[in-house]
Amino acid sequence: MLPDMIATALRARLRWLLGSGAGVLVAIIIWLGITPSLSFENLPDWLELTILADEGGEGVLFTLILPFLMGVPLVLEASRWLGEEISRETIAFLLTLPVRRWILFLGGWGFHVLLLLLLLGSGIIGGWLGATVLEGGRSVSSILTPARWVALGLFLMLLIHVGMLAALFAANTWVGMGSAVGLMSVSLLLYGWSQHIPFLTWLRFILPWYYYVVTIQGGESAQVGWWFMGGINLLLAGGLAWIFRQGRILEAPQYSKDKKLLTER
Amino acid sequence: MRYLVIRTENLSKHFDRRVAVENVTLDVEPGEIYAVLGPKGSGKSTLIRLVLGLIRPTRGRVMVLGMDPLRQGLALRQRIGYAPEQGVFYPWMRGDEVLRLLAQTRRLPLSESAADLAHQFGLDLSRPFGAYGWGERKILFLVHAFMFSADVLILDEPTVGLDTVAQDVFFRLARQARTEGRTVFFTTSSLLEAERLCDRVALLWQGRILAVERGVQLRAKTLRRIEMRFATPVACEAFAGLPNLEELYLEENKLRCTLRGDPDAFLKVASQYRITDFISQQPSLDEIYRRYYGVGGYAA
Repeated sequence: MLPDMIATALRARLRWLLGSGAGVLVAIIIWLGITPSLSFENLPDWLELTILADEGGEGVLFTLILPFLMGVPLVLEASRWLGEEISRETIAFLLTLPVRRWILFLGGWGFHVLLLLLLLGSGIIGGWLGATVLEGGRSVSSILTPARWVALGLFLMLLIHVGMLAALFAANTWVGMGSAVGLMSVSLLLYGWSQHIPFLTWLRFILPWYYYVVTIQGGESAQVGWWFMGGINLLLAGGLAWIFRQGRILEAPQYSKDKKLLTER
Repeated sequence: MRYLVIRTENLSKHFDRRVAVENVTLDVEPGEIYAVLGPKGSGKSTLIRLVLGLIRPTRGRVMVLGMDPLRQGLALRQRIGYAPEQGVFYPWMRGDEVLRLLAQTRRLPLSESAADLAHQFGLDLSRPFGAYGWGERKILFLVHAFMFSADVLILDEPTVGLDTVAQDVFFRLARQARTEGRTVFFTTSSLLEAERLCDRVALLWQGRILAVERGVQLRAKTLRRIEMRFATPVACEAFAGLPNLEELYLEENKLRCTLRGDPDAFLKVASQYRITDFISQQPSLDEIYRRYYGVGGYAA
């Protein structure tokens, strides 16, 4: 049943996947094509540290370009799963069938992990094409460093989980989307302040952006980043599965419907 | 001890401080067609969700086929045929693909009975779900509910959106299920439907059960607004003696009244005159509730 469900969902989102995948691929090629003409030298130090501005532009690719380019469509899709009324009603109906709840959860959650992996794959192909075909002299290894892509994947997964949880509780796609993209943007902004303002240095340790940045930078502190990103994702995935199993998805739409009707009484 | 297909005991569901269902106690027997009748917002769909174990009750408990829907949901759902009020599904899937996927959840192939049921309802299974109108979607879910030999059919507003032909097919299938010893439990806001089809009807009002009536009792309480025109003036005395006539208004050859229950005596009297026009209307559920149970928008 689980493969059938994932295949069914994949078939439903094939056009979305092709469009997003092609968009990511083309955007990376374009970015790698234009970065030689860009100069990050005049940026203030704190900003350089925040967005990891380096000479080749690969750091910025992983801080400013890919998290937003891939994060926004992925989070929107994930929030729709648990926030959109039609999707929730479909899940509510599926829950009346003799199918275990954890299979239904894994079908939806696994499908979004698959989407993430496919987009990451599209990004890697774009990076490889950009580095080898268009930019003969560019170092392929700095773009295709596996650790960077894994870190990006974990960071995007974190956003997906936040989007799903918010959408599930609010029964609204846009709340889910806003929460996840807001978390990413605010986290980036506060991380910048913590680099710039000395007495806010401590702030970075509570920001997901910090842990993401240290993992893509590598080095000794990357270890902390991996533990944080892996741990928080596990925690959020487990929490989401538990809340789903408790039937929250069925309570919220019924609640909003009943609330409307009861108000009309 | 009686074996009950569905049993609820003081079942309540509150959303925050709002009461959706309050102290509902129902006993549905095997081979019975049982309806929960109530206007929009009376808590019918919440009750169905509680019975299916989709949401947790605030108080009370539910047993379906002797099982707790919250704890033994998987085993129970194997034996239930369910049609939602407003079913949605993947819009690009064809009708037969939807039914095949739903059959797979029970590890069954798509049987010929599904195609036969769809044919009876006049539903084209080769069209995508997204191209179906609301009525056709409802039919598809009814086909799904009836295509297995489910012990109990739980249907949320099964006839809303159906044309009269499809409604008749549904009535026939429900009666057939009853003769096979299966139980049909459904919600409706149509008094006519409840009285035509059901063995028993629970009347729900603002989440509470007002009464549980037998179909026959409900028919006796049926109200009809009658308006008649005769070719010649008629005497008021001819109708005044009828016991089940209310609000009688007679002006020369025009008669208006409210008829309760069996219309036989009234029609016998009326047929003594030449009738030129005849209109019969059923009052709203709200009015029935007001008259017989003292609740509703106009209740004192």
